[in-house]
Amino acid sequence: MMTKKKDMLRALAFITGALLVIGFVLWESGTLPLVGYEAIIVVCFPICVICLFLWWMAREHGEDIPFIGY
Amino acid sequence: MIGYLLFAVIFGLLLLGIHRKVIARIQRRPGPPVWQEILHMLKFSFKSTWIPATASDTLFVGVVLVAIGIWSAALFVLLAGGSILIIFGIYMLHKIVEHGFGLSSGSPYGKFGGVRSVISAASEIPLFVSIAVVGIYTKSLELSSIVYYQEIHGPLLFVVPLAAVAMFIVILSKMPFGPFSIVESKELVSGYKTEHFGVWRAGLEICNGLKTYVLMFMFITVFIGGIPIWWMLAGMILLTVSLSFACALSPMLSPFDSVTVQMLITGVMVIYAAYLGVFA
Repeated sequence: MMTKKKDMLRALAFITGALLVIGFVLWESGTLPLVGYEAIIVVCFPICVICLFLWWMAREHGEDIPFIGY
Repeated sequence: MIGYLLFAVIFGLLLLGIHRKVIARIQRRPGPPVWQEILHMLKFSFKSTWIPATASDTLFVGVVLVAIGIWSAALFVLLAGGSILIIFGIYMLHKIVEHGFGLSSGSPYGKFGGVRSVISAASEIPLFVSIAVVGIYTKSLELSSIVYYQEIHGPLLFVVPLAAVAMFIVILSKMPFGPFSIVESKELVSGYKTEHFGVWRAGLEICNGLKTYVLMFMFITVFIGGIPIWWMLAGMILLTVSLSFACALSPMLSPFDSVTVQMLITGVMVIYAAYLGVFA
C-alpha cells in the first residue's frame, strides 16, 4: 500500500517535471509563447516539488489528533 | 524561467536568514547561520509527514500548492513589468491562503492564526494608498511605465517618500518577528502554520522565499527603478537589514494595537494622497 502510494507520487513528480522540461523546450524553440510556459510553471512547479518531497521523505506513519483545546 | 524561479526561492530564503541573523546580532545573540532558512526547507522536506486526523484533507494540502503557485505567478508578473495591481491582488490572495492554512488544520492555534490573518488585513490599506500615490505621479500602474517614469524624473523614493514609508510598513508587516507579525506570534505556537509540518512546511518555506523575493524586488522597482541585477540584489539585502532593525528594536504589538497603528498610518497616508491629488 505504502509502496504503491510512493510509486504514484514519484510518477506524478516525474510527469510534472517532464511537463516543465517540455514547456521549456517549446518556449526556447518559439512554439510556445512565454505566458504559456509561465502558466505551465505556475501549475506544475508546486505539484512537482510537493510530490518530490513526499516521495523522498522519511517513513510515513498514521495520522494523529492535534491539540484541540481543553 | 524555472532556473530564475529556483534562484528566487533560494535568494528569498537567504534574505530571511539574513533577517534572523541581523535581529540576533542586534540583540547580542550569535543567531543562526544566514543559510539556516534554506537548510530548514531541505530538512522539512525529509521529515516524516502526514495529515492530522482533524484536518480537512483537500484544503490542508491544496493550500500549500496554491501558496507556491500564486507567488510564482507574482514573480512572472514582476519580471514582465506587468500591472502592480495584479501583484497586490496576489498579495491579498495570500491572506486567504494564510486563512486556509489556519482553518484547514482543525487546531485552535491554527484557527486563531487564520483569524488573525483576517484582522491583519488592515495592513493592506496603507498599500492601496501607497499605490494611489504612485498612480497619481506616474499616471500608470504598469511596472514598466513606473520604471520609465523614474528614468526621466528620478527615483520615486525622493519624489514621494511617505508612500515609500507606507510600503515599507506593509512589507514589515509580512516579515517574521516584526511588530505586526500577529499571525505567527508565540502565544499561538506558530500561528496559522502550527499543524503544517514536514513536507507541508517545506512547501510553505518555498512560498515564503518567493514572497520575500517578490516584495523586496517590487519595492526597489517601484521606488528606485530598473537597476542592474547585482545592484538589485544588494538593494534587497540592504532593505532586509533595515527591516531587521525595525523588527529587532520594536516589540510585537497586540492584535488590536497592531490594527490601530496601521489604521493611523493609513489615515496619514490618505491625507498625504489627498494633498498630492490636489497640489501635485
